[in-house]
Amino acid sequence: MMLFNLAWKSLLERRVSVFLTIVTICISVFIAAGVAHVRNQAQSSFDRTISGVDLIIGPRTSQINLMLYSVFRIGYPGNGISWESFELIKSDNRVAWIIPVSLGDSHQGFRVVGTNNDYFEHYQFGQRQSLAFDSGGVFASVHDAVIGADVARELGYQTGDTLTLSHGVGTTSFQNHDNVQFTVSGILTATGTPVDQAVHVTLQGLESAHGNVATHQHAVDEEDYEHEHGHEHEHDEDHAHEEDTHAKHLQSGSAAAPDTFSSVANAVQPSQITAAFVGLHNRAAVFALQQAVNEYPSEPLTGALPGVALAELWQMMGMVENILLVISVLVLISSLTGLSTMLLSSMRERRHEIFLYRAVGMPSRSILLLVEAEAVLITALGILSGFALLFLVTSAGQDFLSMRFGIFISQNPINQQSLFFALVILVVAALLALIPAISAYRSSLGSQLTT
Amino acid sequence: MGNVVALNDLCFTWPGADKPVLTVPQFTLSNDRSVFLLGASGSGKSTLLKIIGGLMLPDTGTVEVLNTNLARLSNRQRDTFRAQNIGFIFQQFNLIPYLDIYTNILVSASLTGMKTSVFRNKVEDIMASLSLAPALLSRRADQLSAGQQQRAAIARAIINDPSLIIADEPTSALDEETRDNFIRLLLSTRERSGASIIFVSHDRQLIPHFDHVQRIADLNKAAQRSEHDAV
Repeated sequence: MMLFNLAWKSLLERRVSVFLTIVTICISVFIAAGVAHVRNQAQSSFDRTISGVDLIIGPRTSQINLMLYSVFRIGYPGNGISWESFELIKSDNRVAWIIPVSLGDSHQGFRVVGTNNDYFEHYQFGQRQSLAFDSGGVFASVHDAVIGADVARELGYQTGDTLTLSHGVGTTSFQNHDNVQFTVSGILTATGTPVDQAVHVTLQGLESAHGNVATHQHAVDEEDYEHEHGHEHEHDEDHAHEEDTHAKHLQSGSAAAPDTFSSVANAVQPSQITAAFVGLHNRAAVFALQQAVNEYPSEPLTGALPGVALAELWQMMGMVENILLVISVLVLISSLTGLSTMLLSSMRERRHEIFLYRAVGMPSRSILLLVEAEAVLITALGILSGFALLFLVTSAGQDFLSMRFGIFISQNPINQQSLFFALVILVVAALLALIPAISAYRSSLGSQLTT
Repeated sequence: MGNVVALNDLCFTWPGADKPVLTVPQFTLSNDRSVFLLGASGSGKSTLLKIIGGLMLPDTGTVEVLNTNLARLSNRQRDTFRAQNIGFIFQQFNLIPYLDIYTNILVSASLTGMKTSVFRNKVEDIMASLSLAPALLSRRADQLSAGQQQRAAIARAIINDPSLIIADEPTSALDEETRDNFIRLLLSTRERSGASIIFVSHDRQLIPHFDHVQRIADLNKAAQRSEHDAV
């Protein structure tokens, strides 16, 4: 204890260079632990997002891409699949259930998912957990909406509240579907998956919002029309429902036909959906069905196996992760070497101090341990501040990551692995500090002692 | 029994040097005595004091302190022996500048395993006997005046009740008044504790305070030779 006390006071005396050294260790620990933390969290977050879905069906694209946009809401869907194809797959006797998903709209930055009540019945996450409701329940009418826990929390919605949709995804959209209001019929229990960030509406309701069914209570004035028209090109690029946009423009253009709300009841089925999640009676049939989907003659489709797609994704990411990890380990080693350099260069000015300790009877071995204690203290402070920084940054970045990438990250970086990592850093620091420590030890031996 | 220090046929050469810096055929200091070693720097006195203090071992010859042959002790034992039996006072920088006085003295006490409660009482008594205010204990060493620092050095040197105090030019950084005060306190402390003292200085005015005077040049044949060489 005496040695740690002496080491601590000695560090305080050289606080500027010690502080700078702690900063470099803090940053390198932050980087290394951050890379490991985000990787672990992203992986477990992704792995728990979808469960029980045997096949994801979408337009012709890569398995990874299909899974990323349909499940994790990362990126933008290209084409969709036709409703006829959906119906056909649904009628296949191997299929136990199928959930249609239609993406491309948003509500105040939250993505809108057009679907039906099968979603709440069959969609599972984590260890085969089903969705549950905090309040309210499933769609009871065409203009009902079921919102995720984060949406309810962030926007303060309760069941019975109304909301409108915006075209496109992103917080600012130029085209709002103000004409159709949705009523919150249910709020889902938090899942820690992108479901929390979603506004679920009925497919028919989504169609009506896009204007495929005349639902306008009020005429849209010219100005609005011009406004929308001006951005048509942009929308066409990032939106699957090109026809919908045109249909809406036609409606708006006519600006007449004051329809009643009840006409929605006649809602047509959507002509297209973005993707479908399929559950099978017998999982063994999944490869046969996947092949059938991939070879579907009337439309280019892709069937993605979530597990395989995830494995492909991690394989792809593995390379990047490894490079990041190698870089962060190198940064860490260089900062620990910097620590040794700092201690070593301080030895010259501390020769007298060492002499004094020796003169009062301190053994040379304690001089070595004193330098080691300083190195361990500095490193421990660097590690602590690095983890604290990681905690702050993940706390601050949590919402951003979950909204933009569907990755749910815990802000607590402390786990068995990170504690082991901290221990390894301490050991490496202690080993590198042997260089200045042995130098101090040598200079404390008789023939080197100078007053 | 009688001798605190006994040196025999001592010879020491710095590594890489071709001539010995120290050749002492014979030197003894008996119990409860004080010796004034007169010599300038470069006379080999620092080396001699380090050898007596067990910080270095001679190439040849024997060093007995308190009837213990220092060469027979392990490094670790020699360090403990020094902590228990020898108190050093140097010319300046006696204390770790960034530690408070309390911790500076505690370092010495902890090396002999003194209990904190015992230490606390003892250090306050010693401070009082050296006319140092107890409040100084919590001050950083470099915030004290030179005179206060040297007196704190006495406190540090005697905290473990050593049998031998080695003072290496302890007054040369002090002005005359402070110097006299320092000598008075050092010698009265010594008298109370019954320790022997080796006091090295080139200041002849201090000679009357000591039982015995010894020119280092007479002691160290190596230094004599080099003096002759110089002549």
